[in-house]
Amino acid sequence: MSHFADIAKNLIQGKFICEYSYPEEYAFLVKPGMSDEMDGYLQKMEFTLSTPQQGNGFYCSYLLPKHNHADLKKQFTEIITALSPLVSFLTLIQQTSGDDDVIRPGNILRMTEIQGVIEDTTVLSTQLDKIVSHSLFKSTSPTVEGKLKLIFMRLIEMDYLALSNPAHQIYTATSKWSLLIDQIRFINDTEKLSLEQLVEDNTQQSDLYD
Amino acid sequence: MTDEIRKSGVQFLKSLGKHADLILDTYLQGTVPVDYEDNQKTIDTLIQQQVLWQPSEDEGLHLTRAIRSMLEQGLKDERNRQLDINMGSAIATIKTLTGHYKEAQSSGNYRDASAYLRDIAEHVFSLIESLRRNVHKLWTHINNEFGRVGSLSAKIRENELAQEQVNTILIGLTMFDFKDLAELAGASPQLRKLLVVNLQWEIDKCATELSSAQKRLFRMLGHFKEIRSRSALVQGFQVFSEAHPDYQPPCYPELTNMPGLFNVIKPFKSKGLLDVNIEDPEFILTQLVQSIKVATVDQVEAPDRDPRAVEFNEMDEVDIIEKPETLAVENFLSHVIDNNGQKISALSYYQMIDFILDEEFWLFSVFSYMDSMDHESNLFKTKLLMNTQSEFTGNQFIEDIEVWIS
Repeated sequence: MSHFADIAKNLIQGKFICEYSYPEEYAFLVKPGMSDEMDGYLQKMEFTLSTPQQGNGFYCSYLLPKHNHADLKKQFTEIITALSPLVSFLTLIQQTSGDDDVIRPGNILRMTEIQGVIEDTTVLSTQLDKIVSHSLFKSTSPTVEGKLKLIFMRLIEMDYLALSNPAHQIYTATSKWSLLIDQIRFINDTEKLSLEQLVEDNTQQSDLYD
Repeated sequence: MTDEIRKSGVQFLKSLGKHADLILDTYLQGTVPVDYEDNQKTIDTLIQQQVLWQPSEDEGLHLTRAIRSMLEQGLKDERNRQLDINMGSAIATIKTLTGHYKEAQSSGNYRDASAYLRDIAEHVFSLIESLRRNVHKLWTHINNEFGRVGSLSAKIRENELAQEQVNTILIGLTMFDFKDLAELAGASPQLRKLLVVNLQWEIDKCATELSSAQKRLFRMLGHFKEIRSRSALVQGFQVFSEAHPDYQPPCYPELTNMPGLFNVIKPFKSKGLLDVNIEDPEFILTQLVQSIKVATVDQVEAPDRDPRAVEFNEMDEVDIIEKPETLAVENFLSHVIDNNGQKISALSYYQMIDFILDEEFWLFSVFSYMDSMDHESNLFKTKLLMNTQSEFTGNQFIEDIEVWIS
């Protein structure tokens, strides 16, 4: 089977292709004219090739969203249900690293390091427990390691992470996080949630108690 | 650390003392006098210690600003004029001194004229030095992304401050009107060299550097703010969903103009088979294998049965037909044959016959019986009626099995 067909199949199976999740496939698609060719091929099946607003990557969308109402609604419910646990994971990692920034495509995640910090910090292990109580990352493992492994495994399945070094448990964040951030920003803007303001208010409040 | 600083500090001061003559003569004459030119080693040391510096290749060696102001202060020298980044005052000083110089020159007072010229040179070079120093400092901050402060907000404030400083210097630099300076220098070749060649070249260079620093600062500020906004968005969502765990945005796919961001296809899942040749999910597989081991251990821990002799003559009497479900399946198949091999669903047969078996178990029995039959010579055809499970994608239920003879 040709590389082209393989990639088309991956896209139809809902894979997110970027330089970190599927480097070879991504390199193939960014060759001149190749993404147009793929898009043309997908359009014959009433699909289309999409990319996130920011960052690079490819995923498959419906060419005629109106004709796929039921499936889109189902997908939408899945996306919305996953938002909260995914965001909890992002903040957990941000807290373990002490970074100002949240995970970005290409960031390296070392599971053993993350595990060490969580094991030493009660607040963080409580947060991890909360994450694994969600159906997306449901885990009954009693250890931090077991819980993290399950989360990371699920994130690989969802194309948010790529396992870059199995022996040392080193993972790379993919560009799918950009899509997630785009989606949150869209909800924030459309529903006027003023999420950024919420953090500021929260910080000011905790400053008062300090 | 303190000891080291102390040690090198003492060494530095001793070196100043040791070369006091050279330094003082340089201070008085503006540049290192010719008498010392043979003493290259000393000069190199002093350059290295930032006591001396050379504004440009064709200029003599000057005292650095710090040493000069130290001497000016120590000697209570009248020439001690504080020079800062305030370009207005620098220009005014240079203009004033140029006035003095021209006057002395025209009245034939060459000694004074030469002293004024040295003063002008000193001010021009100090200005150049301070501009260079400022630019250098700025780039250091830029290059380590304001690493001296920890938080992102502090970095943003530092960046804004630096931008303000760059703006002030740039505005100051525009005050140097080179037409004015050229007029000021007049026909004097020394003044032209100082004010037009040296100063103009240096200020042009500095202005270019500063505008590229300004661009970098602006981009960096944008980057900092993007990080802050992205992080606040994520943290805000976390705070929000903790406060409103059941929050659901309106179903965007129902909008007439559906946002493209949520146009993600429902994956077409192929058969879920493990490819053991891929190394990536190695640890997942290892985990699975480990869990299998645990199961075996459980079985081993089951109470040991008493050993008993196996009597081989009993083998012939063991007959699978004796199982009620097997009998029932065979009766079902006979029923299919009796009906001229027409398609009959296992469940409809189940409802016809008064069974003691569980419905699910019945379906499973039919399925496993049909599956165990030799496919090549099988007279019967089967079709599984599947239904997709709603909670987990990719899983399917067998709802019924149809059997017929083709």
